[in-house]
Amino acid sequence: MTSRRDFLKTTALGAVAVAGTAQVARAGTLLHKLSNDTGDPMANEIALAAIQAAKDAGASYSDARVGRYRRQFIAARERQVMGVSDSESFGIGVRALVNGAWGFAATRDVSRAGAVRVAQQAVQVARAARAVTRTPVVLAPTPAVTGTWRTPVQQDPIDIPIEDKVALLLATNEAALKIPGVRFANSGLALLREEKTLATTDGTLVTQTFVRVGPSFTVTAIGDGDFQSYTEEMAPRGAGWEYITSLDMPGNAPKWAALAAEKLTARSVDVGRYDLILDPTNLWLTIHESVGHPTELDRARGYEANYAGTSFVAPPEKMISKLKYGSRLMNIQADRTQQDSLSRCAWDDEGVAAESWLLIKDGIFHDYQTVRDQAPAIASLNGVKHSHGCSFADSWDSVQFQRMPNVSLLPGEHDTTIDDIIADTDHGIVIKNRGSWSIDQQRYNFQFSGQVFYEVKKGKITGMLKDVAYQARTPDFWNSMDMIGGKRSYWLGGTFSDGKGEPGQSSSVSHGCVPARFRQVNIINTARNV
Amino acid sequence: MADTMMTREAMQTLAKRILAMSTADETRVNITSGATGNTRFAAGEITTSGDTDNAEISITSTVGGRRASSTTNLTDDASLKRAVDTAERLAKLSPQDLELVPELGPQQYQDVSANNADVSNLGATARAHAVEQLIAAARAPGGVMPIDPATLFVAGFLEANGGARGIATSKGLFAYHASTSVSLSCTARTPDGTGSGYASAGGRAWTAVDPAALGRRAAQKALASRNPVAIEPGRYTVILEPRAVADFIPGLIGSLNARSADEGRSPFSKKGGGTKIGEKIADERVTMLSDPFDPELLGQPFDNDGLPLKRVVWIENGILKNLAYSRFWAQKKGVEPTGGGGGGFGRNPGGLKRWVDPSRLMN
Repeated sequence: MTSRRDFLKTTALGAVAVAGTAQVARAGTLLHKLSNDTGDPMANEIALAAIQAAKDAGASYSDARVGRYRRQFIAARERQVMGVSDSESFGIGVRALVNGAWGFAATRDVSRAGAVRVAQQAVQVARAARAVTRTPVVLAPTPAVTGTWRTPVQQDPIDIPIEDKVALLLATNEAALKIPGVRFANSGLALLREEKTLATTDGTLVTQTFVRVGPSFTVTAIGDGDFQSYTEEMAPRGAGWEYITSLDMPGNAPKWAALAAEKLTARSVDVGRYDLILDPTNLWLTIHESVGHPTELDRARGYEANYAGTSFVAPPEKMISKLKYGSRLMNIQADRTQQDSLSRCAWDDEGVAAESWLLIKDGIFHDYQTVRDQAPAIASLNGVKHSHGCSFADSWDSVQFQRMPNVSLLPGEHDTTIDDIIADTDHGIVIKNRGSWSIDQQRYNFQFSGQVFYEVKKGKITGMLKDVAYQARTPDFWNSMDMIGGKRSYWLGGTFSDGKGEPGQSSSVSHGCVPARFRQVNIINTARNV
Repeated sequence: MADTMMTREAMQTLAKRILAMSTADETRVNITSGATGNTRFAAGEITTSGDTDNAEISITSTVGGRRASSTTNLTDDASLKRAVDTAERLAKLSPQDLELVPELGPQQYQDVSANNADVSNLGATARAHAVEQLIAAARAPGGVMPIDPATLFVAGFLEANGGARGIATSKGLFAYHASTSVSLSCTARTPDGTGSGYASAGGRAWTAVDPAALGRRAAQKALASRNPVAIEPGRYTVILEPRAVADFIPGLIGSLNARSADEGRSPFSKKGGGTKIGEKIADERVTMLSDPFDPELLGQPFDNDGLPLKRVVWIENGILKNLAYSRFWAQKKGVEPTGGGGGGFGRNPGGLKRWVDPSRLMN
């Protein structure tokens, strides 16, 4: 058995191993000699030309990202291919800091002239912003790094023949349609390869290639005046085609389809308080919304007040090491090094090395997610002078800002399984997979549903329920957690599309967790007429 | 913000270059180009500001009843040829599309003038000035204030877009539409965190936006909403301002798909089969329509297939009048397509408007 302490140690070693692939060096000049393990020479040259131009125009700091994004989407419905698309986007984005104000400019003209033009434009934008900037930006220090990194994959999903992808989806749908009552089946694949070169005036020059895959499957069964759908929780991952094949979608489709048909005859839930047993396929989203978002420092400081929202975990001086977020079983780790995770990288979009750290330790709020211009604001509170490396931009034409790393609930010290938790529960409900949800802008009051629900009586599952949603306040919910699974029951969920920022940006993030029990949670009936 | 919006002629020339590279049975080229400038602010100061330009060329190829698409933002010959080849290769490898409808030939479009220079010329300095005006107005002293307005936390976002969309098919269709849009929104919060106010405005022209008025409105709401009291769950009469009503609409748009309704998996499916068209689905004071030619909307007059869009009444006096028919589903059902390009109610319905008589909402 691996204890939580060992688990932490393992992931921390992972971080060291990743960072070790980089050659750390301080560059005396921006256009320094490139080592053999740097990326595309053209991208390097143009990115370096851009930051030099920004510096020449008066920037105290600048970074440039040359990005090439290749995306492929395939969707199938029943026995039809609904769409096959392949897209490529290439461009450069330059950020400039002038007198403590940020400016950004981007273009698809990836030439030396284009790079110089947008670098100068970024400086102009920063100068214009300076007039309405009261607090000059201060960047946390970070060592200069050079090197390359690539998501470790056996098979690049973009390179797999399209026939194989289509055949997989059609076979999945066909298998599902064999189940009585099942009329509709939708499946899809979202595949991404992202190549990104980052140069900064601090001397960093890195190239990374990210590969991400996102399978999907939804099936609908039609009954008499009713229809029920089931969506399988196939987590998107930072992995290759081998992950898709490991899911055995055609082999599992009948089992998933049968769940949709079974939902037609499930009993509608009686409202009331139940002990809630959340499978990792459901809990990951609750972690994302009720822990991941409120521990973003920009939200806590009000910087997302006009769009994504603020946070109840504010102000920082009253929260760090003080807020009792949850029970002692609650240890939440932020991480950008975890294998197969969506937020994994070697360096973030400011060149900060990936790391892992605790957001919540033994139930007490411990630290926030930060980038370079945020870390100094709370350094006196958390004792951390460097950025936690949460900077990310979803495209070359988006400005990087603080985005969520992988945020995960660490396993308990005992080798508990979900079956053990069920056996220990007298009056409860098990929920699997994500359903609809709602949470307020401070991430305090929420309501989550799921895909399938099972009633638990005297330690046994007694039947399927429907129309279930749980409702709670974030600290009440997490403080009611009294039993969690061990390392063997850990599962990595996630999303391809976490939205934040203006203009809106989408990021991919994973959330690992174990099954957990929450005592006496309010259950509502989503089908009840009020 | 850079003026990189392609002219009609430039877009037509680009489309012709691409179509000349095509060897497919049918080809459609969808092009967008333009620039955007934005300024974001929080804590009463600008936090980020940026100008970007981009273009996107999407090539949809049909070969032997099979269809696929490829997209690129590179316009040199080699990249375009690669994108054309990719679309054709993907199409050939795709299974037969049994729901394929042919690409459209030449269409007649009513012109919609939605391009305003005051938006495309709204640079970083002008945006910063507007933000400064907004913040100053939100924090201006005046009247009897329960708290010092200078302590209000003010955050928001200003965005100006100028862009053009074009569609060309190998069957001779060409459609072009240029437009600008601008939006400014802000949130004011009281220092104790209990009061919050939001205000926004936008349109095709910068004259549609009054930054100072928005700042004042958000501040008034923030001050008025301080120290809210908890209420018990139950039935209440709720009064929503127009912006709040508007937030309900996107969810409704997705539900208006005719196919889903016909197939029994929509709120507008009738028990036992068919749809609820002609049935009362909302209060008789609710009317919802889309109209690209409405002077307050000035939407794109065609969908992504190049199908001309018309004024469509979806809900009239609470009665469901129409559902969204893609070209395939319309053909199958023997009705006129409403547009939307492929999926029924697509991304560009051409301007949506809903009327709810506010004077009668409290009944």
